[in-house]
Amino acid sequence: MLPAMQGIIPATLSTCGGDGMANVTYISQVFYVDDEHVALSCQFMNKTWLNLQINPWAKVIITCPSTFSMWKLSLSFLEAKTEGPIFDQMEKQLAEIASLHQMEGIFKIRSSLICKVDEIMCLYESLSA
Amino acid sequence: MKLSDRFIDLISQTASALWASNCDKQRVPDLVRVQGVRVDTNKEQITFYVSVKMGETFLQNFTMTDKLSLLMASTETHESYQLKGSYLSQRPCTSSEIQYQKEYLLGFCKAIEGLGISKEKAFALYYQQPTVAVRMLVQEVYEQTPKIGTGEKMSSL
Repeated sequence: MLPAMQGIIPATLSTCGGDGMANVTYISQVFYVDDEHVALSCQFMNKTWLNLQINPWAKVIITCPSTFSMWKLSLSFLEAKTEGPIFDQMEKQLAEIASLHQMEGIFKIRSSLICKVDEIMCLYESLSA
Repeated sequence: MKLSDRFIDLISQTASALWASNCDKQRVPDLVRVQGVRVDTNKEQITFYVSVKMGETFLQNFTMTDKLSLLMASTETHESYQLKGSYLSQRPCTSSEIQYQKEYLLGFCKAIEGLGISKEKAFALYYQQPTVAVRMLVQEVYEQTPKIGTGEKMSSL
């Protein structure tokens, strides 16, 4: 699964607001923190940020760039970080992703959203590239 | 909200990646890949196709909510929009809709072939049947193209 967290193929993230309406958006980074946690890059996503503050549940789908296998992660938002080693590593990785997608100057991380991984579901699994 | 001809062309392109999302009673969201979309002739309603297997939770959520969102993004230009609106109905797909999904997915897999996987392998991986046709009333559109200030609600499209 780790190649799917390199940001080569953007992940798709869904959250839900207080009105029960889902918000679905692309996200540049689903960053591996440890076996039970990931961090999401908070860039443009004002609505996602608002939703997570009142409702911590989220789903994110990540794709392996070499096999196109997909996984769906059920997440619960824990905290936002604007400094520290995770934020610094994500900022560095995001600069590389921005360069890859020719989005320098547009991609800028505002915070790292630390989430607990509650469940992982394999959606599509390819055995080879 | 009436969709413009330009947007209808954009969302109907096979190079568009499509995702749909809704929530259950506890506001836990679910997210599913969409296998093609068609805009109805009134330009206010759309019909999109979801795998029964992949969309099990998503489809079940419609017993609890009628709110849903659909994200489309051009894999060629990154131009992206989110449609928000109401669930109207679901039914099994017709044979012509299944053929439409095959054509959509073949085109989509060709569009992403440059990323390094053959279109045949991608198609074998992603094409799924049976599928259901979900009908949605579009009420709001938000821009999602990655750029500073994105996310604004659009008054027309």
